[in-house]
Amino acid sequence: MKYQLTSDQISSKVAGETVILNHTKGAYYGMDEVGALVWDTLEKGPQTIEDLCEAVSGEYEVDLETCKGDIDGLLQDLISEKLVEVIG
Amino acid sequence: MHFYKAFGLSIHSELELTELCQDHETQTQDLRIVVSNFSIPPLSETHIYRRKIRALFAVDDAGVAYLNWEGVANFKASNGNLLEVDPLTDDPELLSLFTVSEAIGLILYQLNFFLLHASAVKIGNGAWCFTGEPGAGKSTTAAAFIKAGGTLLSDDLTAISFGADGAAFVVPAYPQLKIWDNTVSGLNYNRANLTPVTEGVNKFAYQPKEDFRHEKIRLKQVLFLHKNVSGEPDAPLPPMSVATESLANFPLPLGLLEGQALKEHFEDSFKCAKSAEMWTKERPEDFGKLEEWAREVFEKETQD
Repeated sequence: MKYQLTSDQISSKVAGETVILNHTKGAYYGMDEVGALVWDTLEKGPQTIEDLCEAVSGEYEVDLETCKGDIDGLLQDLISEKLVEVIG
Repeated sequence: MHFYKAFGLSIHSELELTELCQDHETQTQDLRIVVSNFSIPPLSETHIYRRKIRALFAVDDAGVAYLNWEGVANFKASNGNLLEVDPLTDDPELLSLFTVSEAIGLILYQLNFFLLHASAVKIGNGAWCFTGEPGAGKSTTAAAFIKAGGTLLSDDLTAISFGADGAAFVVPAYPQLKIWDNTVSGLNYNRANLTPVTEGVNKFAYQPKEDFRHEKIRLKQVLFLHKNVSGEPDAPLPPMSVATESLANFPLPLGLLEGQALKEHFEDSFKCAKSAEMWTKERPEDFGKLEEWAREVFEKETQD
């Protein structure tokens, strides 16, 4: 199972901060540092939760279980806002 | 037929537009303004008022945009090159005022300019844009910077274009800056050089027609002015606010910005943020401080 960005979203980064727009809904979102790292990774193409976890644990000291739980929480939020969708 | 140049466009107009710079009769015609009768689709209310009249608006599937100002005119903007005007008044000044504001803005929008409800002044080699909610001091700040030595680029409606590398430029509009009577006194503008404006009360127009240049100027600063209440220091505009403040200061009906168009507006606002500096700035508390700030900036920007 992989996660990818939907066609409803567009994002931009300025001063190191990521801002996302869902242009179908007209809603704006800001990302914290870790969220931005997950987002940047998703921008490269569809990712599994393991891929995303690897990207985050490469930058931050975090145990795998916690990391996976946090990323899953973030992905569910992003899915409910139609910024991310599940494929395969 | 009248010939004008404004926003970098060669304009052929059946209406006299007194605010604009006259141009030679040219073969090239970027925009044609004609008087005509046309049917209008069902209209919606907008957040835009001018002379206490609320603008009504519609856009069709082909992107043709309609504006209705009760008792003034109906406008129909098509393809970024044709503005049709159906007058509802005999007052030529009123028609001109409403033509060169939101109506011409619809044409600029169709030509993919990024639009801000802002005044812009050339300082040194760069353009400084002053935006913010009504009453925040856009025109007053522009007037102070012009007094300090800057050159007027636009008032009220500012059009920004992007180069291939994403660099942002202000396209000069037309030589008119409208300022309040208390600004005229506060900044010691010479009343002999100003024209009283019939719009509303106690406003004057500064019209530097002789010196007005049409070359686009690299955007350097966008200042989002707010009234002096918070005591917060000036700060770079937070990234989230780049998107939301650009939207809040969009000068045309928000009905234009849906779906794909909202996406493009979002992208353009970040192009501005990457190409120029964006700040929130508390408006100086009195004319003395405003002039002092304008003088300091002007000296710094023209040192080299």
